[in-house]
Amino acid sequence: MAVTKSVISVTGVDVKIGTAEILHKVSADANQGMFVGIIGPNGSGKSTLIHCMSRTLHLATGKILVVGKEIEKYSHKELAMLLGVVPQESTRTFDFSVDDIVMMGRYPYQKLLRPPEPHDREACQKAMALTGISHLTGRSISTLSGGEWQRVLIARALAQETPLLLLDEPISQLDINHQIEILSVLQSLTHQGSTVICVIHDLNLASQYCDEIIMLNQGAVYATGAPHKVMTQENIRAVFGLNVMIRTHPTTGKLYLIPIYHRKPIKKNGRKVHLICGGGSGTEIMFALHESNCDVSTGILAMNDTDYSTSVQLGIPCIAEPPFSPITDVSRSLLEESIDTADLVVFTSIPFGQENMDNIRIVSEYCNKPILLITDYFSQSIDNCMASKVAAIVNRMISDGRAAMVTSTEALDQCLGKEYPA
Amino acid sequence: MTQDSVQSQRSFKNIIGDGNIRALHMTMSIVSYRWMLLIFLSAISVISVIICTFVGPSNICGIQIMGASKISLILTQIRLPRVLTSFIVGGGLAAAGAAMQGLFRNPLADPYVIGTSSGGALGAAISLVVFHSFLLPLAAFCGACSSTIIVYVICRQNGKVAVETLLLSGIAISLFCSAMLSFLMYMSGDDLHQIMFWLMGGLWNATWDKVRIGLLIIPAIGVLLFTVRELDILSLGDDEASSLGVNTEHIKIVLLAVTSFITGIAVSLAGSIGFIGLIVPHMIRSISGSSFRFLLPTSVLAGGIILLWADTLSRTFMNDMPVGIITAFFGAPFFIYLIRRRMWL
Repeated sequence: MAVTKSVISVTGVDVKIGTAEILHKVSADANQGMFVGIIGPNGSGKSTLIHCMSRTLHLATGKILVVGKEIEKYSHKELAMLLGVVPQESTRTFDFSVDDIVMMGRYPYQKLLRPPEPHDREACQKAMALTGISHLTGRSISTLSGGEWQRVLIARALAQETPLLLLDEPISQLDINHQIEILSVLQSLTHQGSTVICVIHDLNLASQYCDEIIMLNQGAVYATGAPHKVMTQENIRAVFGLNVMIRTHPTTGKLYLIPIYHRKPIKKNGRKVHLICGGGSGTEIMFALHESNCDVSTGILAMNDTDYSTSVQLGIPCIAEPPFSPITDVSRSLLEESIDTADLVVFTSIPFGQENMDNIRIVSEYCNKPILLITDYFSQSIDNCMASKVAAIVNRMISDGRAAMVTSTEALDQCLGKEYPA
Repeated sequence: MTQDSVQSQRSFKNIIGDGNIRALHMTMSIVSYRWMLLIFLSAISVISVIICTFVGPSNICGIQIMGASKISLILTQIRLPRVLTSFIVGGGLAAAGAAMQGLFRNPLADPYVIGTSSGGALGAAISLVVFHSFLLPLAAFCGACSSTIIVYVICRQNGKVAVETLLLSGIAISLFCSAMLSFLMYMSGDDLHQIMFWLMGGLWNATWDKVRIGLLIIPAIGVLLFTVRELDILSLGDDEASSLGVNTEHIKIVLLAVTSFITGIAVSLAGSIGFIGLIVPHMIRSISGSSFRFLLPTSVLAGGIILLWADTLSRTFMNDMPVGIITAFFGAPFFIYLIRRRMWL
C-alpha cells in the first residue's frame, strides 16, 4: 500500500497582499488517494491556499513540496503534468468551442506545432464523458450556462491527467444532481490513486465525500483531520458562528449537519402553551413559538417521534414515553401538571393514532383550559378523519365550547396573545 | 472521413441557440471549414496581387503608345513594390493586432492602444525633422520598441504584468507621444507636410528597398504562428494559463517583442495606418471562431488583402489619398457595428 505517500505538503506558509495577512503559518498535507476538503467561512483564505498550491501566488515565507520536490523548482509544463487546477471563476473573453477549451488541458503534453495525438483526443473525450458534457461537443462557450461552463473547466483539468487536482469551489454553480455527480467522479479518481483537494462550501457534501477536512478560520488552520473530528458542533460554532445539529445520514452513515435557525432569547413573552403533536405535525408551530420566545412544552410523545427530537434539539421541555408503550401514570401526572401551568392547549396531531388517543382522553377529562385543534389539512368534518371514539370526544369538547377548530395561523396568533377579530 | 461525419452529426444536434460558428456546422465540420477558408483566402491574395498590379491611374491598356519599356518600368518599379508592401504591412498589422488581443485578453487591444505605433510615429517624425529622414525605418522601429519597453517596465510588478495597467500606461504613453509629435510639427516648418502625411499613413513612396525591409515582417509572423497554442490559453487569463503549463511571463515578453517589431517595421514603411489590427481579427473571429490556430494565419491574409485593395482604391480613384484615411473611414463604422453586434449576441 502506497497510501501514505505525501503528494503535496504545505509548511508554515504566510501570504501577505499589501499589508493584509491573508494566510498565517498554514501547514497542510495531503497523501496519495485522499479526498481533502477545505472549508471555512468567506475570507478565511481558502482560495488563497489553492492559489499557493498551484503556484499562482507568491509566498512570503513557507515551503510547498509537490511529490517531494519544492514547487518552485518545477518548470511550468512539469507542474501542469502533476497538478490540475479548476479555478473559481474564469472569464470567457473569446468565443472558443468546448473542445478547444478541453484540449487546452493537453497543452503540457503536446509538441510544438504538432496536431493533437489520438491519445490526447481520447483523454479529452474521457474527461468530457466523466463530467457529463459529451453532448456539448462543438458548442461555442459563449452559449453555455454557468454550470455547464464550470463542468467544462473541470473536464479540462481532468484531461490534464494529473495525480493531483486542486479545485476552488468547483460545484458552487451546479445543480444538486451535478454537484453529486462531479464529487462522485472526483471520489472515484481518488480510489484510482489520484489526490483531490477541493474547496467546498456545502458542509454536508464535504462530510459525505472528504476523507480529510482542513478547516480554515481567519487565514489559519483551525482544525484538520477526519470529518467527524473536524466538523463538531463546537468547531462549527466557533468558525461559522452557527449552531448545528449533527446527525448521521440515514443511508451513508456519514455526518449530516442541520443548522438550527436560532436567535438569541430576549425575554419570554406570549403565553405558556402546551402542544400535543406527533409525526412531525408539530414541528413548524413548535419552531415558530420557540422563535417568538413563547414558553412551550410538548407531550406526551413517543421517543422515536420526529417531534420528540425537534423538542430536544430546540431545548423545549417534553414529556416522552418509550416507543410503542402505553402512557404511564408518571407521564400522565406530568401532562396534567403541564396543562395546569399552561394558558392554552394546542392539538396538532390529527388524525389520532392508538397511542395518541390517550392524550386526548386525558385532556378531555382533565383540561379546563382553552383547547385549539389545528385542522389545516383536513376538512371540517371530524368524523371523516378520526376513529369514532375520538370523534365523539372531540365533538363533545367542541359542543361544550372548550375546544375550537382553527387554522395553524390562527393558532399561532392566539398562542402569541394576539387578539383575533371575531 | 468517419470522424468528420461523426462531427457533423454531433454538430447537427447542437444547432439550436448558438452563435455564428454554429450555423456553419450545419454543412461541414468546423475544421475542414476553416481549412477551406484559409485556402480560399490564399487564392484571393494571389489574385488580388496580380489584379492590383495591373490597376492604377495610368491605365496599362490605354498607354500602349508609351512603349513596352515604360510599361514594365511602371509595373516592376512602381506598382509591384507598392502592392507587395501594402500586402505585407496589412498582414503584419493584422497579425500583431490579433496577437495583442490574445495577449491582453481584450478584443479592443491593438498596436495603437498600447502606444507601440505612436512611439513608432514619433521616432519617424524625429528622424524627419532632426536628421532629415536619415535612417527613417530604423528610427520608427526604435520608437515603437522603446515605447513598448517603457510601457512594459512601468507596469511590471512583482514579475507580473497586469493587463489593466498595461492598457492604461499604453494610453498614457500614446498621449505623451502625440504631444511630442504636435510639438515637433509645431517646430518643424518645412517638414510639416511630410509629417502630416506620415501620420495619415500612406504607401506612396514604396520601393524595392522598402519591400526588402518589409520582408522582415514575414519571419516575425512565423514566430507568432509558433505561439498560437499559447495565445489560445493565454486569452483565458494568466493564472489559468500558468496552471495549464504555459510559461506566461516568458511568452508575454516574446509576444510583446515580436508585435512591436512588426508594428515598428509597418510604421516605418507606411506610417500610421489604423484599424487594420483591430478590425481584421474581429471580422475573422466572427466567421471562423476565436482559436488562434486559424485566426492568426487567416488574419494575416485578410489584413493583406484589405490593405492592398484600400491602397489600390486610393491611388486609382482618389488621387493617392493617404490610405490611413480610407481604413479609418470604413473601419470605424464597421467597428461600431461589430461592437453593437457583440451586444446583441
